Amino acid sequence: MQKKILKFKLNGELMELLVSPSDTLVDVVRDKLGLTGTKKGCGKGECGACTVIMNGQSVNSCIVPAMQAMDAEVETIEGIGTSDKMHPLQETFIDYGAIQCGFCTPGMIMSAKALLDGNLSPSRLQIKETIAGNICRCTGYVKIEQAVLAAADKLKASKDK
Amino acid sequence: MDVITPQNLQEALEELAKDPCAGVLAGGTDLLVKWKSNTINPPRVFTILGLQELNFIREEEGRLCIGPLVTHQDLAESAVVQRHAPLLAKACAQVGSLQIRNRGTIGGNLVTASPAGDTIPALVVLNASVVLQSAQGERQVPLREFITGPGKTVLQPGELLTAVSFPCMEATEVGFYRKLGQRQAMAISIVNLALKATLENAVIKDISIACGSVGPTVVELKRTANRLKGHSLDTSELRNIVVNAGDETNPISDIRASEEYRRQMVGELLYEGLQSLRRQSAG
Repeated sequence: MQKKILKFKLNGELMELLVSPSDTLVDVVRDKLGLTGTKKGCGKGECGACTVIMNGQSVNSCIVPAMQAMDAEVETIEGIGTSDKMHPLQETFIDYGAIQCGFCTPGMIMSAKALLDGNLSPSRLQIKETIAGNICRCTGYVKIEQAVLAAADKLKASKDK
Repeated sequence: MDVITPQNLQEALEELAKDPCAGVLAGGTDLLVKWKSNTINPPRVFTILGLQELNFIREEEGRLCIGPLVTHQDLAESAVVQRHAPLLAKACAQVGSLQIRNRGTIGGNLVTASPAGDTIPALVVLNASVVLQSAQGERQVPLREFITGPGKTVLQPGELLTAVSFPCMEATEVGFYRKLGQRQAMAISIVNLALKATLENAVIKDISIACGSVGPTVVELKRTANRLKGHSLDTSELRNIVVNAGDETNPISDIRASEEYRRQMVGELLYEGLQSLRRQSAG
């Protein structure tokens, strides 16, 4: 199959690379661009481990054909914070013990970030609906919910400053 | 699988006329899953997701017209849909997860024609029809006639579903939608049910009832609807009228639920729906 040029913005940086038309976004991000923070779980849009933010919305990158990311803005877990300067969600996930094995965490955080980007005062129900497509088999969802609420408070506080 | 990106609707229709067996890719929430599991393997697919001409919600002469590329999340959040067809907004909010609703489109949900499709019963009680367009022309088909079996529609090779429309709900009409699944997200419906009724002082003047996941295509409960007409929502008879509503359906037993359970739940969801209509008419 003839390869095609894909151009898109990944974590604010313009990317231009050759992909196979049948590649999915998760494969491009992980295997071609080496950003392995995004996890690949079920590979069929069921588990949410591969969640990234595309044009402001959370999507399952395992069922997004790479060619549909043309000219899009994509954010992955690598783009939102570093170990020196973490995103408030990354801090609160640690503070609240909202992580155990960590496999669902990048997807969970990206879903939560997509919510908080548009709403700094989410209700518990909104948080639950937001992460309903992200499966966690370790912690249960209570701590994750608490961490998202706490991150919202942090973000609000820093915005009000 | 090659992915080709037409630049506009005209180009998409011309390409499709030349290669009628090519797949059509919108949000990919069905096509990609089927492709990955080797259920389908089209050599070429046309991705139409970027075609803005097919992404609209418009009110036209008392009808709500929706482009096939509007996502379930956009429909669930649309103020226009919430005002003119709240049961459709409700149905769209029940689809998959947020990630799936952000990608999956209403046109895709109809063309996929799953017996468990969540938007289909809602659109059937709304009397929806779809526009099918090809390079040669276009035709309008009532949704009831569009889907003919599990995964089967009257869509011909070279045709694209380019709009779905239905009359806006009247002030005298009330609606209800309920999906029963094993959990609230990422669940395929065990039974889903939509209702639309015209009420006059809590008396049912007219009612349509449609359920999904209880037959090869959406089942309309016409006999039960006829029996309900003329009754007040306050009557104690309601329960007796709807208890055997499931007899009109033809469900199967599968991994999600047994045939008997599904039949029984049809009556239960219908009863719940009538109670909801009663509350809506009261307040």
